[in-house]
Amino acid sequence: MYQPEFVRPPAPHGFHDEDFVHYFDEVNTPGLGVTIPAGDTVRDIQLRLETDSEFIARGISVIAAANPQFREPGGFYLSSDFMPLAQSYRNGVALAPSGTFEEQTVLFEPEIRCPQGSNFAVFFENPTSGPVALGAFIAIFGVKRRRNDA
Amino acid sequence: MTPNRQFDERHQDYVFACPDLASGQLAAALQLQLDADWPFELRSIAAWLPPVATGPTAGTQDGLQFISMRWAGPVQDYRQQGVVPLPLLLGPYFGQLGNPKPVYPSYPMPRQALIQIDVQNNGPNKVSGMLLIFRGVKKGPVGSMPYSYPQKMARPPLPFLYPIPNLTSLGVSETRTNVPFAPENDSDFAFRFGQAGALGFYQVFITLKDESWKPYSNAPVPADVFFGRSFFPAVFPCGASFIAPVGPGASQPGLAVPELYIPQNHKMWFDITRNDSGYAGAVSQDYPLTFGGCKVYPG
Repeated sequence: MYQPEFVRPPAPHGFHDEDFVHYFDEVNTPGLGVTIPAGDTVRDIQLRLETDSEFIARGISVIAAANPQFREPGGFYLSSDFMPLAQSYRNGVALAPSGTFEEQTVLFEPEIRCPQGSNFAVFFENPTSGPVALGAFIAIFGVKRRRNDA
Repeated sequence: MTPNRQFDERHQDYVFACPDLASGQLAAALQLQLDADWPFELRSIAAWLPPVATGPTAGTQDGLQFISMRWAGPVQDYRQQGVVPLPLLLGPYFGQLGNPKPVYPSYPMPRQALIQIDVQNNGPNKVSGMLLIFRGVKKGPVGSMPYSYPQKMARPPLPFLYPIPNLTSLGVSETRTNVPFAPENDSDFAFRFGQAGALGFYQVFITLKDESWKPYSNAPVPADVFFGRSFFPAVFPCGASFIAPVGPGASQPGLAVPELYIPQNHKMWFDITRNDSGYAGAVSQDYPLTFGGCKVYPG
């Protein structure tokens, strides 16, 4: 956003970075497949990161039928409220075929360091007057930071 | 910010309202006078035309594709050989949706300088209400921007979004002035970008102002220029048809450069004007607006 990804600082001495994407859907995270009643919320769905290394989160892309709010591994929320997707984590311009360009990555600027074995949490609000099947897909982009001797 | 800097930079947009242009008319040597307080450094340009209200091209910015222009700085050093069609000069979005056409190297101008503009309408119809937006920074003396990052932080800055809650039921012809924006009181906030708009909105203008109500522009800026916008209709003229913009939205929001720094327990303000009364189907509705950036935790 403010800087292209290639100018991110290199890994510190003794470490190297590996490009990595954490992907979550109702298969590996059942909470992302629930139906939310009208005006209701689902809270604290844990998005577990892999435990083999620190993860540096640099971007996110979300498809869902409700408005999300994320909490990063340090316990800090990433917005002051639930966010309309088109205003936050997903492009709203749908082009044929099948919504091309809707899912361009939204950058985390600055990046978010996620300790080994930590997790994000996501909350969803259904602002509509009817129930919605959440049907959420979440991809968190970044790098795994590994020790050179590991 | 930058050690040994010579200036403090402050985001600034200069909006120039073009006169009505009849078909074929060339308006030469139009002048935009800059403010008297600080010098200005021009870094990018955008153009905007009120969307057409009726007819087969309703909702589009039909007519913008037929406009040509050239501009010069205060010493009348034109940067184009002749008037250049805007689709070529400013690119496919005409500098809108957070994609202003860069002026690089940037062009420093003194206080009260005059930007000179030639603009021509080569289209078949009269064009009214076109705006040219000259974007860049004002350069004040060191120390003139009182707020910046603290010497120590309690934790690294955190990417953060603020949905603006108090824009409910924005009327089709309504102005709200001095709407406050106060970040949460646990941290400072560096405002870096915004995302605004939805289907059903056509002419929305925003004036951002700092804590002491000093605006970041000389006039209201079209929200389509300052902010990125998702759900944008096929509005941009391309040959004989109109295309939807490719890609703008949450991933490519409109940036404020440099960022606007708001310390803990401080505020900024903005005015918002909607002028959609001439559009069929426009109704009073909530206007989505999001301010983004990062929280900064003083240590």
